[in-house]
Amino acid sequence: MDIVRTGKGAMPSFAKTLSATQISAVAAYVTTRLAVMNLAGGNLAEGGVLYRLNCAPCHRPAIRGGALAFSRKNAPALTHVNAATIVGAVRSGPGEMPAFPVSVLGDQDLASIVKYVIFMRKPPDPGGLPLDYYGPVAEGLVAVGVALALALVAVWIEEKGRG
Amino acid sequence: MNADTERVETRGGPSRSHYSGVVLVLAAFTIAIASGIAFLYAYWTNAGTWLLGITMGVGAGGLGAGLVIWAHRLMRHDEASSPRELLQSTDEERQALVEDFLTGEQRVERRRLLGWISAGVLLTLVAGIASAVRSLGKPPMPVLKAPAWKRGDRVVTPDGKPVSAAALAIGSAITVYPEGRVGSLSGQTMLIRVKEDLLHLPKGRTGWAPMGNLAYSRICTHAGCPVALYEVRRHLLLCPCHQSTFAVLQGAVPTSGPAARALPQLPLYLDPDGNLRAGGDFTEHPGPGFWSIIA
Ligand code: HEC
Repeated sequence: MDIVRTGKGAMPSFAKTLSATQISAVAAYVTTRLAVMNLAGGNLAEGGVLYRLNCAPCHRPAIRGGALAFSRKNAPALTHVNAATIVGAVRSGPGEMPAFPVSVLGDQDLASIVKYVIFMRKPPDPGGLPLDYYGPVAEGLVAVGVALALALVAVWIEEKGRG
Repeated sequence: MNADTERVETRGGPSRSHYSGVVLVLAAFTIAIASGIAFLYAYWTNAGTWLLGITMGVGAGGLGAGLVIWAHRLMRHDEASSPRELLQSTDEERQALVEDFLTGEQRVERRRLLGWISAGVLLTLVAGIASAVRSLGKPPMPVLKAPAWKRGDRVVTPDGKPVSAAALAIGSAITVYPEGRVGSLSGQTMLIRVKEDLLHLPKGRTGWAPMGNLAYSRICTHAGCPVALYEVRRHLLLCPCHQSTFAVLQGAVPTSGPAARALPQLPLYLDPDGNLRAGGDFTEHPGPGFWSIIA
């Protein structure tokens, strides 16, 4: 409840826009919703599908955040948020983010999304540099850049060798 | 250096370094062909990306090494220049031609071998690329040309539930599909609910957004990425690929970025149960314009 009044990080303070009773209503809503929500019942694979459909365009599939248009405020990385923050954000839609009411994204679905987000904080690591999880295209670009640099070094060595 | 001595040097039959050069090129190209064939085998048996990568790398490495050795060992590196002379060949030159003809036989043979193996490398290269192109899949245009929605299709969520006019809160946005075709490429649609009195749709589209529920194609008209970023406060749909933005309240006309066409809109109406249904197909074919050129 305090967090609604003071604001935290990306979330603005609602002390001016909401009355004290409204704030406690919001807080009560979030806590009861959380209480009835069976977070353990989420399904990771389903959460992945729903996340990629609804959230990934803004927050990126690897939950590391992404850019929006004309906005100094981008979609933040979700690597440090807890379940309550996710539920609160999805239901209320902070800032430029749309809200997802229960009628279109059920509690079960949301529990799955929460599970996916928490899982993706530390995704399975096959080794190598993750490069902020930007994905294969970015990785390929970096690899090409490194290869070109090595080729330049090779050319330079050859030129030097010739004297 | 006198022209005559040079001729003696280079035409005196192949040197040892030339000889080993040919062997090295043959070896490198053989490795390239072998890994090319291994690549084709790995590709068609789905043996895994690791094998694809290794065989492709070794193959390209063999080809490159062969070409480099060829350039270094088998090609002349000295600058050849000769003063302008009489057009008629001198007697020595004619003599040299005859000698050349007689001693060069062996060399022609080896060049021919190199030619054959180069053709082999080229062939495996083309075969590898051609089979990999198959993985790009079918062209999307036939799917996108077929009608995506028909009048009366119920709007459903990805898990198949119908959507009532009040299901979305104002400022919500979800992806919806025509009933019975969840996940279809051309039918994917962004359903957005806005305050009704903010709407400023183009002429002829009154009543297309019952209770502020707007539906637009989810495929960007520029390059076909999913336009699923709805910025609530600015009422913009943003495409994450090239940052095209579409003004949601004005019929999704492009306001910045490379997209030139508006997102096709889907007319909606309410059925007696209060659920959203399509009033027809999209205003245009969904997807980027260039697909209609190439298909
Ligand atoms: C239109 C783009 C967009 C979509 C779609 C979107 N978000 Fe967001 N999200 C944002 C923005 C922008 C913020 C920051 C809002 C602010 O504080 O101004 C945000 C904030 C959040 C926060 C709070 C982060 C923090 O550090 O407090 C969470 C959690 C979150 N989103 C989760 C989700 C989930 C889960 C989904 C999918 C159901 C989703 N978002 C869909 C744009 C989006």
